Amino acid sequence: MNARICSPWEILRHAVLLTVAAIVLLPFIWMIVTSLKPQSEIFLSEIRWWPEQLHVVENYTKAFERAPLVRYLLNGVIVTVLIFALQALIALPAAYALAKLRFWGRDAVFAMVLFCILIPAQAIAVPVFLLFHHAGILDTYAALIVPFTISAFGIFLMRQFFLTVPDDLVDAARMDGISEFGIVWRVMLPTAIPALTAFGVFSIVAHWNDYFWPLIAVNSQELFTPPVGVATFRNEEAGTDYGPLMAAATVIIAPLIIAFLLAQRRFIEGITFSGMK
Amino acid sequence: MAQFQLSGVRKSFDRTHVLKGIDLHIAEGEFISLVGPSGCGKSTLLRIIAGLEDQSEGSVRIGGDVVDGVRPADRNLAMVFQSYALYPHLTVYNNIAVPLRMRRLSTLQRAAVLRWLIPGTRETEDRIRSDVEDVAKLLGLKDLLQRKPAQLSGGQRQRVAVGRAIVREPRAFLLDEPLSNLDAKLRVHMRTEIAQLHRRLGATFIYVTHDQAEAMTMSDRIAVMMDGNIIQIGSPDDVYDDPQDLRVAEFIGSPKINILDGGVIDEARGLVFGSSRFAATFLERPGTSVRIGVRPEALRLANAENAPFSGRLAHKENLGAEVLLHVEIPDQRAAVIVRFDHGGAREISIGDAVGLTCSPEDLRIFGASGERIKAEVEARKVAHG
Ligand SMILES: Nc1ncnc2c1ncn2[C@@H]1O[C@H](COP(=O)(O)OP(=O)(O)O)[C@@H](O)[C@H]1O
Ligand SMILES: [Mg+2]
Repeated sequence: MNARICSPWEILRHAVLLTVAAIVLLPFIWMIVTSLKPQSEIFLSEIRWWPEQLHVVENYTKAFERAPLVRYLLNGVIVTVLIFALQALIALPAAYALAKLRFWGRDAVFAMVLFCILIPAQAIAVPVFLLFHHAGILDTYAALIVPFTISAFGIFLMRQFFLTVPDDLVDAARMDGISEFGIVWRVMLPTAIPALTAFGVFSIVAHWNDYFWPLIAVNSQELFTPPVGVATFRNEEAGTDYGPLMAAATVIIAPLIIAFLLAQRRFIEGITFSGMK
Repeated sequence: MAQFQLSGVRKSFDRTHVLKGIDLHIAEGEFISLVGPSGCGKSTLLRIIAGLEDQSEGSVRIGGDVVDGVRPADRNLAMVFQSYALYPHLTVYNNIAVPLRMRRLSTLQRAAVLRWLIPGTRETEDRIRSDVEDVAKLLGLKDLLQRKPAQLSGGQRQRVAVGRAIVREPRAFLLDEPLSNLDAKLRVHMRTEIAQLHRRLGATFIYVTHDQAEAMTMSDRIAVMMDGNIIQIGSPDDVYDDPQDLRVAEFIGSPKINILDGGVIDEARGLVFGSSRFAATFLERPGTSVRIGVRPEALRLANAENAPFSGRLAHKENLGAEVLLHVEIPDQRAAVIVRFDHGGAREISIGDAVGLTCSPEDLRIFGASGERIKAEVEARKVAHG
């Protein structure tokens, strides 16, 4: 195939792809551009792609001054990292058991895991809220973290990956004297790094951006995660002050983008499961 | 070092019976091969011995102790897998060191970040290093110790798998088709190496293979398995010369034994085939129709007019050291193969009429259900009429 030749079909294909990419990216670019503009340029009737007068310093310092953005970011890191660590701690042994051990009722258990993937977080929010109320852990880090520690999707994803690991490898580890838990951490985990990275990206993005549950679970501003923090920022302080608001939004998304760029190669590897063998 | 005693071992997966009552004694230091076609239950039997699978019935003794329910690691056996099963994330050095670390270091000494602070860790790691290096030298892996398995060739991986098995001096070695992922030339070479390794270590080897040539060349004894049963055990010569079952005769030996239909036991307990008679005494009722087995190297050329077997040469395979003639005999399912040493049968060409004969003691007679019919070996003359 010669990439130089542009058939009409190829041009059409690229046009479609570019349009879709633009629809996805435009609001994002608009957010960044707005965060650079002074108030006077934000509400112009014409579309201005680049401000005549840059207001970067003003908008970003205002953002950091008006709300404890650093605190929100820190909360975001604590919550997402702990959620992912606990998810891995539970999902890996569970996935190993479902993929490699033979026990009575295994298929039924796996069916239940699949079923759990179908339950939306919103559906169980109220019962969980009541449960946490009675347990007295509302408005704590625990309330933000605990509901997500068992990820049915994570168990499913890791199980599918573990199925591709040869049984002989597990048996060799048993012959060498490694215990079953040892096998999970010393044999399965190292071979599953690409899949775990992929799951990590899904998990961290989902919980970093989660607005619904933190809004319900915590009241104190010190516990706000980035999306909740930015939302209150708008309500209380900024009103119509969109420059600093967009600056704040840019700031809370930046860590994800940086993390994604760093993990990109592994992430793609994990999705395509080009793992081993 | 250990002897093994298997009694009445059965195994079923759901409804399928994979092993149907295996009794087997393996002596200390013996090299025994379990050989049979794919799916006959060899690996399952080996995994039961290893403790990776539980038998449904029966018991396994190793060195006199019943080991049912004992974890694989506590049986102190080493296993080499067909796929080698090396840890992909560890270097060759660490792959070989794993079984030693698991045995000689405590959990804390293995896992903790500060493991070097725990007394004894360094001394033990030093001893592990020297043991791993000894094994690496023995197997010619010295220059590969820092590589990962993905950077090794098939033959090198196979050596690492062997190294991981021998490093901890187990009671016995279990090998499950360790050579079948290698190319033909390397496979022949590794046969010799494994046999030499067995002689040097003096340990018990239990070797599973579907390749009868591997079993024949390396073993002290061969156990031929079919459909979940061991149907014959014996030395390679026993199994080759004196097969108890048609399936054993057909499985062992390459080129395959020739099987001819249409033999009949006559009143005088001799064997009649066509117009020929072999005057041996077979222990079977007169009138029984039998199948005649005769090895390719036992056949000789004879006058086509009155030879017991006669047909036309269909094909000639010149393998250098030997020549194989494919002779088509009327009413037989497959061409009869005759083996000659280098230079034999030069004068015969394709399409020629060929007569074949053999001594009666080279005949192996089988009944309708494949069971061997024994001969009283007195008669030696081929009569015809
Ligand atoms: N875990 C298992 N579950 C169900 N059937 C199995 C299992 N392991 C082996 N079998 C069956 O047992 C039979 C024997 O297998 P195996 O011992 O691997 O044969 P071999 O090693 O002689 O080729 C095969 O038919 C196989 O399908
Ligand atoms: Mg097998």
